[in-house]
Order: sequence, then C-alpha cells, then structure tokens
Amino acid sequence: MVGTIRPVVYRDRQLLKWGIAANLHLLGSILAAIAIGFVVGLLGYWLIPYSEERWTLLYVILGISSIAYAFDEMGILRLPRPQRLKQVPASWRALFHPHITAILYGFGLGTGIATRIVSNLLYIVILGLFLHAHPAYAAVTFSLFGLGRGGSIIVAGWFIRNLHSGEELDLVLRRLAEGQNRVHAIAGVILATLGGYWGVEFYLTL
Amino acid sequence: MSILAKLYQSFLYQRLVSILGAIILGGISSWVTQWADANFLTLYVFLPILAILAGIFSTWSP
Repeated sequence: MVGTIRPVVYRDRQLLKWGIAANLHLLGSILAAIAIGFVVGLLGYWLIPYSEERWTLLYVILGISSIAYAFDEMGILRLPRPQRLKQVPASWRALFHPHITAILYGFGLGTGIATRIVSNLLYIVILGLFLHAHPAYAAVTFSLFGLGRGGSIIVAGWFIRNLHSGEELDLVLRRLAEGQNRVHAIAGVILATLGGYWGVEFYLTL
Repeated sequence: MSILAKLYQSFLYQRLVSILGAIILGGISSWVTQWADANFLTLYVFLPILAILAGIFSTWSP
C-alpha cells in the first residue's frame, strides 16, 4: 500500500507538494472514516432496541468476538474476515491530478472495510460502535481509524522520501511485509486481553 | 528432547499460551479495577485505542 501511495504523496521530490498531497490524503482518510463510523452507529441505532440490557449485550458480544478473533489473528482459528482484497487502484494516478488522487486514495483507505484489512482490531471496533448505537460517537471514534491509517502512510512516506530507485523501495516494502507476523501477534494479544476484560465485565453485570 | 520440551518450543503452543495468558490478564485487570467505570473505559479508552491501532496496523498491508 505504501508503494502505491508514495509516488503520490511525494511526487517530484518537492517538500511543499508532498506536504499538500499528504495532508489531502489524511483529510480524505479521516472524512471517509467519519462517514463510515456514522453509518455504522446509525445502523446500530435503528436495529438495536434501547434497553437496560445493552451493556450486558455489548460486553458479551465484544468479549466472545475479541477472544475468537485473537485466535484467528494468531492463526489458530479461521474466522470470516469480510474485506475487499484490493487496495485503491494504482490507475488513479494516471487519471487524476496528484492532489485529487491523494484525497481519493485517502477516501478509499479511510473506509477500512472497502479495502484489505490487516488486523482483526477493525472488526471489533466496528462491532463495538454498532452495539453502542450512537452515530455521533461512532463517527468521532472511527475518525481515529482514518487518522491512524492516513497518518501512518504519511510517516512511512516521509521515511522513504529519499529512495532513489524502485529496488530500494522494494527492499523497504519487503522488510515492512516481514513485520506482518509481529503485527498479528501484537493484535492477537491486545484482543485476547480485552476479551478477558469484557468477559469478566459481562460476568459482573449478571 | 522430551515431548513436553518439544511442545513448549512449538510455535502453536507459544501462541496458545500468549492468548490464554492475555485473557487471564484482561480478566484480572477487570476484576481489580472494579472502582473504575468499565463503560467509560470501553467507550473512551479501549475502542478509540483499538481504532487508531487498526489504522496504524493497516500500513502493513501489501
């Protein structure tokens, strides 16, 4: 993904242009995340009837799902992982002005569910926002996903700004890919810890 | 090498122990922090942190 974004966010190796494109990318990512969060919260608001039992439901579903997806993250179980296996189209670079492309890439990636999903943390967040059923809260909270996704691309783009050849970029991307197992392990431990926390909270609400 | 030692060194075992340890740790944390408002922590600490981490981890996608 960084390989696709980098030529846009650092076109012509000019810092000002890079800064504009990078910020547009971040803006697009946050706006898309706000929209998706709002829709998820709204769906929860429409579909989940308000009751005193809501927190119990939230804890039990989040607890079970977190533990199950922790096992999936560690490669012990295989659970459904709804996602689109493609990232944003590289062809947009040829079709649009680089600034338009940067914001469109941001929109595309900020949705989260419309692209490839690396860690199961996202499913738990979406589930939590749906179950809490508060559109404004969901929009604000999910905007952090857009911030993290757009921001991390900018950080990665900054560190690879001075690469001179495709081979150097490939090497960096390969190293990044090698770190994926570590990311899955960290996400798995986080999910399992929260699963345990929510499980006990569910027990305490009974 | 004994079967137990082989089992201990296996990757699957390490992952299982990590998950079970984390579940127990999370459970104990919930138990010992009953003075804290779990609803508040869930909404304003855990879910926002998960959201931002999910975004950051997406950098590792191919």
